[in-house]
Amino acid sequence: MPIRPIEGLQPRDLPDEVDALLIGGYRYAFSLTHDAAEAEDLVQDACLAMLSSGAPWDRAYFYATIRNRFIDRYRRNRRVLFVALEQEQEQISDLNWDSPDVLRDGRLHRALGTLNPAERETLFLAVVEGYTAEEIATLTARPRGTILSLLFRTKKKLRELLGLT
Amino acid sequence: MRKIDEQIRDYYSQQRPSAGALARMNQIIATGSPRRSLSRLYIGAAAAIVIAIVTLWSLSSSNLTETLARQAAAGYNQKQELEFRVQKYTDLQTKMKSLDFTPVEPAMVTEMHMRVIGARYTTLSGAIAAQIVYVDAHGVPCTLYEVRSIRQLAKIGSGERQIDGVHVSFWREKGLLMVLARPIA
Repeated sequence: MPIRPIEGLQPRDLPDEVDALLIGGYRYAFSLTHDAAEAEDLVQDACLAMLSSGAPWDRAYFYATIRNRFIDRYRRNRRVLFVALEQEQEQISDLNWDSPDVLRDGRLHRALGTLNPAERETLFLAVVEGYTAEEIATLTARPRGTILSLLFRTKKKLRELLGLT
Repeated sequence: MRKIDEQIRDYYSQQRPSAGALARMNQIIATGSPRRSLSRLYIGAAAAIVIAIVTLWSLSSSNLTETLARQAAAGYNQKQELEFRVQKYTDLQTKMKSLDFTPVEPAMVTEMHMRVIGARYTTLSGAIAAQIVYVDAHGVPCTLYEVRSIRQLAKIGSGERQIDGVHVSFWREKGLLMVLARPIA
């Protein structure tokens, strides 16, 4: 069956582009859940929700849908999701420090698992997806200053969790 | 020494959905095409059936009970909008045409003087299911899931779990797997 068009893409490009979209969505979901099975369920739910709503298959809508489904799914379970933050903007410097290999020994995985979903989400969007603070603010409906502050604190917290302070 | 951002990017680039999950997601998108001729409900149900077929093969029985319990508890806590509001159970059998089974009212409903409120389509570990909302004799809402007890789901035995403030019970009745989610007393 043909796939509904994704903005800017030609039909012949769709399979690869769809896979890239789904894998990107999965990684975003994983940044929220830090659990592979839950991330798969979340992306699957988001696909169904997008079909139901008729939303266009672009990354921004897809990520927003994943995020909304995540909130819907877990907010009522009284889990800590997105903590309130002050809106001050902090000085951000040296956020990308030199580090020993914390990926291979599993320290990074454990440290990321200790962060809360909002911290992991912001880190993922900024570092992996390359979103600007403005773009993250739009996606997460938070002030830009809050995003900058959260990113700063998250990096600081991550460094502490990795034992690199 | 490597930059921490580079390591974070490498970490997330290693995360991928399983091949089965990716295939399911592609199928979901693929079934969304002929929207002009099909209702949203039909599309959702068709996608759910596709998910069911693939998921039932991929899920291992060892964690299936936990997965089902978690989904049932989450579904109970979400309290999503019902697609069908009914006065009696037989109305559901008439209205829920997109299921791949005919819903049946379990005996405990009568025994516990429960009253049906309505239902919606859902999926339970990938299988299309009926999510039916009752209130018990004290007016406390309960959520009952009914799903065909086939393939991997056939391995689920009777049992109980407590997750996120919800008591989840499993049993098999009239060829269907019943999953009841209710608040912990």
